[in-house]
Amino acid sequence: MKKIIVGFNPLKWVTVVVYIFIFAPILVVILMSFHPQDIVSFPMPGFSFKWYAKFLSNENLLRALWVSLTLGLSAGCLAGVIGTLAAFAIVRSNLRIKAALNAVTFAPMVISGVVMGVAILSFFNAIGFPRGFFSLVVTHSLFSLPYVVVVVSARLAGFDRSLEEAAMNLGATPWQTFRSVTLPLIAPGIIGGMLLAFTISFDEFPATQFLSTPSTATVPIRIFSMIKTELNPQINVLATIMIVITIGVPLISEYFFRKK
Amino acid sequence: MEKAALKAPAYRSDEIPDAATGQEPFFIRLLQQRGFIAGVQFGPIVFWIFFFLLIPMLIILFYSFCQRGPGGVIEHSFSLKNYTHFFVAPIYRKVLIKSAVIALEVTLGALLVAYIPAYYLATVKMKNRILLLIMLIVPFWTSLLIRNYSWILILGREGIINVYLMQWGIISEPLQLLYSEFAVVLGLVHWVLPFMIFPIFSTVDNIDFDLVNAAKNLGANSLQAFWRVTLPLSMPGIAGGCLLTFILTIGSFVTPSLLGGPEDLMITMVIAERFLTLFDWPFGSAASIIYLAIMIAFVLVYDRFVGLKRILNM
Amino acid sequence: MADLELKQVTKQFGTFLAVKDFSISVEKGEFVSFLGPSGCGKTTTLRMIAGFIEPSKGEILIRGKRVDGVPPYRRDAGMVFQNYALFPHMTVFDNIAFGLRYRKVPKDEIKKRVREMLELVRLPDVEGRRPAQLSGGQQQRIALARAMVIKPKVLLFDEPLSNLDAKLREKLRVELRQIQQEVGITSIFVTHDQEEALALSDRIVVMNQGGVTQIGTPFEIYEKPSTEFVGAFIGQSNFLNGTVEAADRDTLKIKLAEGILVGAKKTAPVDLGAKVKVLIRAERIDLKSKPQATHLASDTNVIKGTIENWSYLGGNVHYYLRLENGQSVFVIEQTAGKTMFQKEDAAFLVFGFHNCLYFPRHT
Repeated sequence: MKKIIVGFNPLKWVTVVVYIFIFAPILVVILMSFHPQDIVSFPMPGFSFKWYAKFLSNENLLRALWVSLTLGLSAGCLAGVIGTLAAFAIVRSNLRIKAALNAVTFAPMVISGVVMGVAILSFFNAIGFPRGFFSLVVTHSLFSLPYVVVVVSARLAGFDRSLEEAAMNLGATPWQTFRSVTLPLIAPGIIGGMLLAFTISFDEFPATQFLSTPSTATVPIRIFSMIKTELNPQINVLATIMIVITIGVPLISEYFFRKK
Repeated sequence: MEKAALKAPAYRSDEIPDAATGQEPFFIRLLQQRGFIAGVQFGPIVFWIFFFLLIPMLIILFYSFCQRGPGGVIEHSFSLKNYTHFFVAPIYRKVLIKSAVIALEVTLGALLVAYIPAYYLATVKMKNRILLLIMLIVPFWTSLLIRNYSWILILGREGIINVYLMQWGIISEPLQLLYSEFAVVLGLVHWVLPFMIFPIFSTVDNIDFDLVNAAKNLGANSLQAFWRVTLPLSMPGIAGGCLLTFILTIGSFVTPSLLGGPEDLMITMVIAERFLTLFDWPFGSAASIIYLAIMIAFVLVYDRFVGLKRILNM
Repeated sequence: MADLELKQVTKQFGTFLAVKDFSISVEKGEFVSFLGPSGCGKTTTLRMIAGFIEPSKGEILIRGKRVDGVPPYRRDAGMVFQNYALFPHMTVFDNIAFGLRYRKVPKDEIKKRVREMLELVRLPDVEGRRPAQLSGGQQQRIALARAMVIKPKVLLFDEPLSNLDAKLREKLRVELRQIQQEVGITSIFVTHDQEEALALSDRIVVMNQGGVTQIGTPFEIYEKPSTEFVGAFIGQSNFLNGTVEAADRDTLKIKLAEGILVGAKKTAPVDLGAKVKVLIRAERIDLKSKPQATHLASDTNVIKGTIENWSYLGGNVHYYLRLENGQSVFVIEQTAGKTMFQKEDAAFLVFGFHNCLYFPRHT
């Protein structure tokens, strides 16, 4: 059934337009980061790295970047460990609660970040625990858990259990089997899930706004207030850096995830 | 037996030590207990969900029946005042309606924008299909704040659209595109697009196109075949995408805050304002509970009429 | 002392009886096959020996030591898996060395052993490769090397040749038997392929529906099937219903439908008038255009039939005949040096009494 598409195919062109719509905002920001003037204007009068230089001397933003990176790594690792264990529980155990657990794990994905944020704030407030880095790590790890669970479960579901049997048959104890066979083989999934968790954390704003303190202001917190108050072209630079990180990290994770 | 051993000099089983015999140390045996392993696997996630999801939700449920005291203190005096106030004051009714209207507009808009590319990618055999699909996730990886900021650059008074429209003489005054419901819907549609495209793509991709050919063979033209066969068969994907889109947008905060005007107040913004600037946690909690109730009710009604199972099995 | 002993091993999954009362004693260096249709319990038994499943009842002994209840990693029972189960993230060398490392064998020794094994399986140059870079047959040999290098007390094979194409399967079958005999390792081989079992085994255990139907050498299994099931499962046979008409000390006369009589060698006591099922192997029947004097000897059956159909397969021909009483018979004839029968030709089926087996029939 070979169709010869002659000339104009409306479906194709609609698709092209949608792709332009998808990429336009991202491209505009990257382009603007090289804008030479204080006031963003069109068409661009030239090309400069001026805002990159300014950004690199803006201590507030650099500190926020540091907070976001350490937060993302902590939350990613935490979600990685908890999510991997949970994925084992969901894929391999036959306990009754696993279906319920599976469903509840996905709740943070669909409940508004604002509501999650105020609820966790209320919780920490009720037990007299101050907001700040720790509360952010907890919250962000909760948000990233579903992603880790999905990725690691997928890897585990495709795991050939006879490999574990073979290892035990050759004399490896269950723990040695886990370390030498199971873990290395699902590691790409775990790393992929953790990197995805990092991305989620790195971009989280709705809940973060309730839990961060001035010393733990993350990049999204800074950007939000900058957008709200003045349109500082340094946002473009920060945005470009964030785009590079948030697109780069999943690409790396995709690499790990795909690798057999 | 002796003879067999002699016949095979290459093989003498005493050359390689046996697998370790005897028992492992106590703590290793403990670690290998079934119950212990299940505990390690289930423990952390159950702990996490219990303390950082269920308990917090119960606390705001409790707060929602309290009152704000002087200086933002929470007075533990049980009443339904927050709820009655929410439903009596016209402003909150407006917020609820606005939230629902925006969520509906975004769902419909995203469906319209997403269906054709999803259909096209699923039906046309292309070499780079995988690459095009991965490209669809790129915006999902890009910070939502940054994307909204970019819409400000594009839609603003001195933004790209207004500048070029004026330059080409199509308009003489800049259009008020930004800080409007239009901007909010546009930003949200951009945000939810992957959540709409992927479910539709995967159902259309799974349609057996011999069915469509059969319809055509029986005398339907292309449009009729699409309307009677393809579209009904892609319904689970559409239903799933719409559900996800609606739920995500009704709880959205960043986009309406950044791209909306003073009129475009959504329920999440009311919650944030009560918690962050007015220090009225009880009322904010009540609004959160109302949001959760609406969401749960929506999912239940949806389940009743469309069926979640159909979507989840997709 | 037997290398492997099963004593009334039984496995029940819920209400399903997967294996019942399996007893066998396997001598050192013996090669025993478990043969049966899928779901007969052969793999379950193998997995119980390896320790992946615990028996519900009975005892398993390896070299006289009870191993039921002992975890798989302490059993010293090497296994070759159906899908080979080579570790994809390790090189061939590391795969083979895996078991030695957990037995704390010194490094130099490991190197030597692995090389020896690779020589043994005739793949000396692949130690640096990953399993994915090897062909199916090569992976199979590496899996064998990996299981043998730890010098297990018994070697277990779980349908190891079933994922290979027919030609390669036959080649590896010969090699496998050679290696096994060279090394003299006690082996249990699970298969559903009768030809494989016949070619490889010292003894065959035929299983059906969880139970052991017959244990014997390939010759015994083929020539003296103990039950109708064994006779039907192995080889290509004709089954004809009949009743015992007459019996003397070592022959029987069995009456088929419409009064056709066949003679059979008496192998088990049977009553006159008993209903029996007669089994005649398709390749043990000679077809002649007319009976000769020698065929009329007292221990040979000669029955007239008509060729209904045939299919020519190169080395042999399959004939489908109808006897005068209407019963159908299937015959395999070598093609070499014979003129072929055509459709509607009359032919005489000639077969000795000893090729006519019989089983009690209940319907």
